[in-house]
Amino acid sequence: MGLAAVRDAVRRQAGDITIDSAPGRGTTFRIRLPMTVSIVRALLVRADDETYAIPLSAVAESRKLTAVDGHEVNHADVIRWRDRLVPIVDLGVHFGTRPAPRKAGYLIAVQLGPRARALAADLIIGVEDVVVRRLDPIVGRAPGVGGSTVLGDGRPILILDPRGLMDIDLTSRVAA
Amino acid sequence: MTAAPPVHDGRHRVLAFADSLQAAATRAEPVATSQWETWVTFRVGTELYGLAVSAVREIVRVRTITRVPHAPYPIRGIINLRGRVVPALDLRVRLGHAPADITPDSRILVCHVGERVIGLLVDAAHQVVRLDRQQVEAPPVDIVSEQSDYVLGVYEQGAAFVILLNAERVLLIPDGLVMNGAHHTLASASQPENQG
Repeated sequence: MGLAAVRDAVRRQAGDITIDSAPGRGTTFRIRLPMTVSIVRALLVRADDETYAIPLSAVAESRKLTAVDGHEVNHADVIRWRDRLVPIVDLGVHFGTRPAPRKAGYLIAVQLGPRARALAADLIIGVEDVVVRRLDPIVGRAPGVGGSTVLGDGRPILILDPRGLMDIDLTSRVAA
Repeated sequence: MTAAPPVHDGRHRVLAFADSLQAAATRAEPVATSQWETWVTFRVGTELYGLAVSAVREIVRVRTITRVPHAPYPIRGIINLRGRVVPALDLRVRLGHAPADITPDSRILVCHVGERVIGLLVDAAHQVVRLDRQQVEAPPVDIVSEQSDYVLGVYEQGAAFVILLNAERVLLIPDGLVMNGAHHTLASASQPENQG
């Protein structure tokens, strides 16, 4: 019974399970799960009542956002971060929960290879290990959204995709 | 690949005949047994709708629906169904109504279509009914457009009409509605449409 339940649970996650058993030598269970069912250490941030998980592997550092931060270069907001200029992506503006970038809150520097973005949010909640859940394609493919997870209190939230965040079109604010 | 040449001997003809008998038998059977079908009925706006009970896995109360940015307009967001993240499609919007607030009566019909699990947000769940297949009327041709091909038929239940929906079709979001989504991400989703 128990073994059948485990097998069903593994198969539901598109994995498989194999058993090697020899008399007197013991039994080996091998459970293989696809990468989509994986645990990611993530930084939880809040922007306009929405909570997002940012994979910690891509987070370089964070700091408070002050009114003097941000310069406009070619209609994109940039910030001087250590020795370089990094474009600011306000999570609320990008995800459509506010019309204009916030003036206070936190900046989270996300880095992927040579590219970097400073994400503007209201609050840094903390670090948590989250189980990555696939998003059904019916919800569309918003740039910067990689998957979803369920928090301890039962709320489903989105996991951001660092690669997608780098590809956000920063010049699209010209029309606004 | 080397296929054996077809053999036209008696044995093959008998087998082919047996196959055709079997095919005819399976074709004929459903007509006789499926006169009574079980449907789940629910309310969207002021109308009663129905979905085949085979498509609806369960009916749950609405808890947190997390918004998904830039999602197609009828997608209300994602919900947590016992640890599984399931998209929630607002059936009001899918059927051409304006979105409405969630009330204590609102329910999510958890639908299984193929391997996918999708929640349908409705205004209220009604009942599970057995309907006589023979009494299902096709919708009048002039009121069915390509956009409303999800209507299977209409069933008269007492004084009420139940509009029977095709689960698979209602879960397909037409491109027109997807495009609408872009305009509604920033603006309030409940704004009246001003079509000129």
